[in-house]
Amino acid sequence: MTAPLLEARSLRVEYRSGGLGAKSRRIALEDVSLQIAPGETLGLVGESGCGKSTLARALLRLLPVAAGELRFRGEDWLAPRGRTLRERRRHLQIVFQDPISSVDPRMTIAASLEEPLRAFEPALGARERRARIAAMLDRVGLAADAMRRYPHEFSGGQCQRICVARAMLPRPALLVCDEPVSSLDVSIQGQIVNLLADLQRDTGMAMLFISHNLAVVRQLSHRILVMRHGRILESATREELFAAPRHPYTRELLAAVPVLPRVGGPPSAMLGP
Amino acid sequence: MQDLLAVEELRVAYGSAEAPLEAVRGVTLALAAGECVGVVGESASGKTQLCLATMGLLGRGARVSGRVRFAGEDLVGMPLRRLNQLRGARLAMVFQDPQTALTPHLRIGTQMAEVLVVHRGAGWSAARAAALAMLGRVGIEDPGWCLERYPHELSGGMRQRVLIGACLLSEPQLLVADEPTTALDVTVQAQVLELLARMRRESGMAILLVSHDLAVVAGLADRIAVMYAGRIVELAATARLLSGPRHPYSAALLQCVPDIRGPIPVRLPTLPGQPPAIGERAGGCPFAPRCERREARCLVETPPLTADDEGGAHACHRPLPARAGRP
Ligand SMILES: Nc1ncnc2c1ncn2[C@@H]1O[C@H](COP(=O)(O)OP(=O)(O)OP(=O)(O)O)[C@@H](O)[C@H]1O
Ligand code: SF4
Ligand SMILES: [Mg+2]
Repeated sequence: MTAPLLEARSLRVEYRSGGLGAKSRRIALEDVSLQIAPGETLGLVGESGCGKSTLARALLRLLPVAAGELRFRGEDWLAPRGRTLRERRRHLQIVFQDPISSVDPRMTIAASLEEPLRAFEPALGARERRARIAAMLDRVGLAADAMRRYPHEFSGGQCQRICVARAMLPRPALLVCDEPVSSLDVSIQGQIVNLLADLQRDTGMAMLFISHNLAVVRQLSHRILVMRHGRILESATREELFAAPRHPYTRELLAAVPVLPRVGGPPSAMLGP
Repeated sequence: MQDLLAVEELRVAYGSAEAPLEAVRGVTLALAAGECVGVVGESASGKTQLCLATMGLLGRGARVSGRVRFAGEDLVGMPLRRLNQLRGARLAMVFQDPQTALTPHLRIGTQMAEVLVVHRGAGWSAARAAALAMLGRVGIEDPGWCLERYPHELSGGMRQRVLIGACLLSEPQLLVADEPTTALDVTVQAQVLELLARMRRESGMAILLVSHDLAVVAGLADRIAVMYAGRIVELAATARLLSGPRHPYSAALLQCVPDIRGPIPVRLPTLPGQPPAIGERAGGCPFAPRCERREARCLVETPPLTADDEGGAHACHRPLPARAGRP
């Protein structure tokens, strides 16, 4: 097996609610181990509140880790602080669930997209930055005039394309997507999922894809982790997971997916006369 | 039978009178007592505005015309005092974003119990006991712990269940649920939908269920309204909509719902393009730019919502043929 891009061993994350002592501690992640290979998409599913977003944040060093090990490209990823930490972050980018609140409403799209480039590639000149942004907007399927516009002028799906563009600009090795399509219209979800699949194929980046939409997770993931109560219950290839789920909770999860009663097969909608 | 809720020619507009931004453009929809009507449609199609209007909750900036009659009383223009009596007691709404609907500095137990104290005149300890029981019913595993938390200490899914529980506490006659399960994982979603179905059976509560997920709506709704760009483009009994959609947008939506039981497609089915922005809704059929059945007249004439002979209605110049008539 190739060396993992990101590896977590026995991670533990705790939240404190107010007071001191053991009573005020709540364990959000316990004994979580995982590996993400370069170019791989790891799906992460599990019930609400099980710690998926917490895990994503811990992997990106966005919150304190109480115990365990984290390695990025073989190096200790819990050690870097301050400036080193900020610089390394360029390799691990994230796309959130709510695209509209993830972009600053007062800034033009160009200004929002310049931020990561200024932070991570300060040597770039203004013209090069513009060129990179224009190329990225084109890549995510937005017209070049988007640069001059403001977030409120875009639909949710377009805003999510902007967030994907912003995350992709520093050319990350790992893109974490935390429920990236769950606030989008069904007719648009597929567009974003297909875009992420294309970007991954073209750039070779790895992805951690968090969603409670199992159909979408199945579409994108090579392997899938199932979480519950802050622990990983099952790890399997997507084929194994859907064909022969081992853990009872995974079976429960698969059985709970609402299905459309497809009376007489799906209609041929867009056919001509 | 008298309708519990009757929305008639509802229009909701923002912006100036010269350049109105119309969020809802003439919606007519009725719900009988105990009935569940699902509303599906893309984001910004006006679903939330329709819900807010149904609750009399639209902000000052909104210009509302048409009528929203709840149990015979018109909510449009109703004095706030009367509205507040109805809301919470007979009418309740679950919001899409549970973050904004919970008061940040109050413990969950306090805010839930408050509903009963204010609207039902219950005592605090009885109200807290009812809140505790309700948290169990909405699938919170440790209700006692949850009662003592502040909203920010709960995950999105937990907050949504708390909110649904708070709404159900007063046993409303009509629950307006705007994307109630969007923040939830599938097992909790299934629990919440089952809870809504049970409340319907047990207390005859009617539900206006809004979701962009057809599969969610299909499991609970008797009828489904499909909205696009501020209008209802198709309204039909659930089984008929699923088996034989007449409007091309309804049909496209159905095709976009991935089937987890089937083989993994190379790419997910999508509907190209995007819905028109609120300011860009010119004349003609709003779906025309994305529609493969479009003809010349679609670009100039807005198709009206027309009753079909199967008890439904659709707004399309060239609807798909009725299922029975298809090969
Ligand atoms: N700031 C906080 N203080 C205390 N507890 C917290 C805090 N944030 C999250 N938690 C707790 O951590 C656990 C995991 O929350 P997290 O938001 O990571 O879950 P999730 O899997 O992303 O859920 P969802 O699918 O609902 O978004 C929950 O039990 C939650 O109550
Ligand atoms: S009216 Fe015309 S453009 Fe609109 S949905 Fe029907 S066929 Fe398509
Ligand atoms: Mg989350």
